[in-house]
Amino acid sequence: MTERARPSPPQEDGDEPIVFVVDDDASMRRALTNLFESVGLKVEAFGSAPQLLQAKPPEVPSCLVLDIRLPGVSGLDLQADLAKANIHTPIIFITGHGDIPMTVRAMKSGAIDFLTKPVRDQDILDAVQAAIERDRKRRDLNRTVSTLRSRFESLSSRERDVLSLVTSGLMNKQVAAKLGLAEITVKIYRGQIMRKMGAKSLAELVRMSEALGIGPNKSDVQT
Amino acid sequence: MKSGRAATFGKSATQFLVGCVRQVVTAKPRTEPDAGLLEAVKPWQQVFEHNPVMYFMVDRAGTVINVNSFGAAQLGYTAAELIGRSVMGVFFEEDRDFVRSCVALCLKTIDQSHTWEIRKVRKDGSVLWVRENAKAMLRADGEPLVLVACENITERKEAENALRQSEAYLAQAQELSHTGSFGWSAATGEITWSKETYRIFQFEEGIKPEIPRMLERIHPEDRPAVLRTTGRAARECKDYDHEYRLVMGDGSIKYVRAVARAARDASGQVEFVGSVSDITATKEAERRLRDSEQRFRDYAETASDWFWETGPDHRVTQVSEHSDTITAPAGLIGLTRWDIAPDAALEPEKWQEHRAALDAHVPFRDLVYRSRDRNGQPIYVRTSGKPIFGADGTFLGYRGVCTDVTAAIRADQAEAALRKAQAELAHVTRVTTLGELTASIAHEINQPLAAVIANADACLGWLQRSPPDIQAARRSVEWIIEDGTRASDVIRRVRALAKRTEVEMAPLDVNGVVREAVALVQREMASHAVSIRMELSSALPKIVGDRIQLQQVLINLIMNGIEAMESVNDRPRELAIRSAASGDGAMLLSVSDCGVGICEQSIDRLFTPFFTTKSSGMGMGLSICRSIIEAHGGRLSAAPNQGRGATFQITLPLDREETS
Repeated sequence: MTERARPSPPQEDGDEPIVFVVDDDASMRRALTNLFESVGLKVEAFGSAPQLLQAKPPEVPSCLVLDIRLPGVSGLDLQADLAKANIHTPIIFITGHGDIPMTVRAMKSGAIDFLTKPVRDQDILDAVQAAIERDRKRRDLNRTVSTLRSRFESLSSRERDVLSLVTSGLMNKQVAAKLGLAEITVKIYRGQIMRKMGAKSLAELVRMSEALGIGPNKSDVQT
Repeated sequence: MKSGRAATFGKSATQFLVGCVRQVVTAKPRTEPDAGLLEAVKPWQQVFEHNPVMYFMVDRAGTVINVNSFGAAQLGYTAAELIGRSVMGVFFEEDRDFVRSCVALCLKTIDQSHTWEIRKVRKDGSVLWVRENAKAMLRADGEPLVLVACENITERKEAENALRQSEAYLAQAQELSHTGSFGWSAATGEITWSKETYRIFQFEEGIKPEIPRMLERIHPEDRPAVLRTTGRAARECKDYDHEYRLVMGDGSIKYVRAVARAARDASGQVEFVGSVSDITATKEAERRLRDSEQRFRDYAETASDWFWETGPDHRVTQVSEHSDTITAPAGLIGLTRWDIAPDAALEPEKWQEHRAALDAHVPFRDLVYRSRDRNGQPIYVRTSGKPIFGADGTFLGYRGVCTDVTAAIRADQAEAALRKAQAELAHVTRVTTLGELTASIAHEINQPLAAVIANADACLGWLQRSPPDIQAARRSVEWIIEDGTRASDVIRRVRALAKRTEVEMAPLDVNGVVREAVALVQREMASHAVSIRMELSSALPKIVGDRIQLQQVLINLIMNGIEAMESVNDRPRELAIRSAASGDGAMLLSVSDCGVGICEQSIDRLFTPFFTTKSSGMGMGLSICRSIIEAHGGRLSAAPNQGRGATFQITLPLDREETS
């Protein structure tokens, strides 16, 4: 079903972005593919939402160009399905005729843009560019967080308790008192944590814990 | 014919002759002729020779001994030619035995006279009728001698023959004309009948006709009249002429006509001479003619048609009378048809053609023109006529029949108006449907246009690359053309539906019509999440129909199906369109949905105008659909499905030309 006429872009670093096009109209699908390819973007086109869902989630920065009135599963339904599947690829909706409730729903659900057909090439190319950029950033952030997470996961449970209390701003003495440890023991844990997390300062450690979403409020040690 | 009969005769020429001969004979012997005697014989000789009677003297053997010159001349001979030869030479072969028997009789009864009538043959073969007086006498030597005197009766014989023939002719004529003759003496009651009269009355010939027997033959109902007529005629000595019926032996009825002329005989008594004709055949023909006339009169009077005749100048000379109709125009006599018709000036060509036909004296058929009935109301008249000619071939005019075709023409006009109204209504509903489809149609056009723009942008993109990708740019342009064509196709289809066009019946591939209709409502189905399943038979013969109207029907049915499935959320909304040959010169086309369905009770009302279950819409759709299908000679019906939803089925006749 998908017609791909790709100008075979070089696979440089495996980070080449992909534009996913989902449109039930073959000629529209073909035209969008052609347009994106003409500016050097890699495109994958699908005739329906289920076809897209069956495809492997992208490993590279990408965005989704969706016809909002897809037959069967509509563009909005697909948006919801993707969110459920924890796929956060930015979505650009295209529709033949502006539909305010749909637009609102789409934007609330995190759509990047909402374009009406026929789209101006600059508008859609800008939108795609922006979406890909956003996805790239999201991916970078995700990558950092997951490094921190794996470091965090290398900590022992006592070390995690100490980290939680230290990053909440308690002094070593206070931490020791809370955990019923000697102050010196806390100091040793603290050194091990700094080393395991790769933090050079307490301030960095605090940022890391914030990125990981662990703070004093979430600590289970609070009684 | 019988040649004659021998009879004894009294004092006559023969006797005289015999006397003379006796004198001569007894005066002999020749050897010594007595001068005085010779002198005495001479005058008698002269008498014998020149008396205008044929005399023969014949011997026992029938040899002619002597014949007078007159007699010989009568037969075209000279006396010398006959003397010494057999007398049989002057008789006909078939009469000779009779001659011999007569001679024999004479010889047997010497001195007795006999007479008979017989034919003789002249030398030239012609016939001479004679009455012969003959007598045998003995000569002195004792030899018998037969003396014959013949009187020419040819004239009388011919007159007799002529009379006999004329009587025969008369009898034959009577027989042929079934007319007998009779005589009736009123005073004595004596009646004489000819042969034919006997035959007519079927009385045995020879039985004396009598009035009581005749009366018995006459039909009882007619007897009093017959008696009255003949009685008065007899009293007043008047001619009569009457008709009556006879009841024959086998019970059959015979019609006769008797005509008689009265006269008074020498004694002053009234007598009649007349004829009786068997007029049964004539009566029968008359009755049949009367029946036939009555029949045609009945036809003419019941058929609201009227008959007319025109003269050589094409002016009306006669119009049949109608008892109970006001249709036949009055006061037409003396007018020509083009005087009557108010459209004569409006349609000059028609009338020129008609007058040319009239002038050529050829029949014409089904001329329709406008006229007025007796009340002055305008009517349409259709007429046909054929020329009539006299016995000598002269043209006498025309004769023909007129029919009031106003009702038929009005019906035609009404039907044409109805058809037009229907087509207009179909058009209006079509446009209404298109209105409902606006969003879908806009999408159908917008979609390829969006593709065109995107491809055009892409084309620019390919060209702006360095180096420009010409191949990709060309491909983009090709796609632009494709998509542009697609957009214009949609517009063309929509315009065809929106246009008010004459109904155009042409051979059609139904599946093609289905596909085109589906293309127009594709988006409508998509936006209502309806999927379509097409099961179109690939081997369908063509039908004859109007493409636009059939598309209209299909779009209508599809839209109905989509609406019927609006509230369906628990199962796929599927619409099935099927086409198939039905095997009896027709094809089936069905549109099935799985929607709310229809209840049996409302099926009938479904197709009536203004019936609708929707809040919007005129409710004309299905009614129009049905009238369109019926105008195509087909049927449109609806039925609930076994499971859910409803099926609308169209039956259309196949193109006869193609199937035959």
